[in-house]
Amino acid sequence: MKTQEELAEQVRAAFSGKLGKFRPCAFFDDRLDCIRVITRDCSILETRINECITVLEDNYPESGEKRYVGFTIKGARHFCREHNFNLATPIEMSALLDAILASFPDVAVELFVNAIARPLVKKEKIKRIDVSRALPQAQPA
Amino acid sequence: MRSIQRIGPYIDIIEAWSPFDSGLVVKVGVREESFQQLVHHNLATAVAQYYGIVQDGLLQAVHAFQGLKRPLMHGDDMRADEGVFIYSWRSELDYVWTGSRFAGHPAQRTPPPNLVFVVLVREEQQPNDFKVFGSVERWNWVKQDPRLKHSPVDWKERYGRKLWSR
Repeated sequence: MKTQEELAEQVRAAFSGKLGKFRPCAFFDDRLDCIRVITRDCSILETRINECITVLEDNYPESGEKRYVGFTIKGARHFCREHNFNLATPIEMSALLDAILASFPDVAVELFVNAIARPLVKKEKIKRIDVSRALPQAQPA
Repeated sequence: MRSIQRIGPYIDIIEAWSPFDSGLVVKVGVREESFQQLVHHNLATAVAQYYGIVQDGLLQAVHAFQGLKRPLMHGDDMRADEGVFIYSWRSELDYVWTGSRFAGHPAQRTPPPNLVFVVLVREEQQPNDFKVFGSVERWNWVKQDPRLKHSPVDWKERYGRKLWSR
């Protein structure tokens, strides 16, 4: 097993010594076709709400910290097309959450959107998500 | 300490049990584009978990599953969900990056009870120049199935099928 110093060295090397300050973020994960919203750099517990939504919780929240630290919207390409979002321009987070509510009219999703996702993106001022990487990419010649 | 094995599009190559034969070891790689996503967003804890749990621990996987039961498109592949393999086990250690970005370090933690660690691997096109079975795409904790230790809760709803248990 590695020592903590060896592990620290590997992490620093991965960041080329330029580990910046974490900022809440929303991004499109091209290879797993999902939108990720992450508001804390922490060890994450993923809890599945349904086949398209997962909520993220901090495994070790400190006293006074909220335990919800993000969410994932899976199958993002299909979801965005189904709801006629223009992938070339950033999508408004509020519109995205409205679309989720419309797609999954059940109590668990309503609770997720209104009690977890909306307050989280509002607090962290995450207003838009760039999904342009979901557009078909030119293949190398 | 194990050295990083950088090759082609991969920043590291590690070993895993073959999804199709739990007695056979295959190589899996971490694609630079996937890893850079974590680096770009300064997700130091996920990077620490890779080096602390995944890199030397993937061979400890107790279960392997195939297929995500959710939509996943990649390029023209409408059924990319079927090409994802999931390894799970109860890691006895977890890591969290603590402290400042200058003087921080990965703090070792004992994971909460009833959680298991999962690693998602996407099958690469076969054969490929690097003899890599798949790419490591994601790792995180999920709740444990109370009926099948070391496996994620609701694995029958999450995944297409269980391939093996060790």
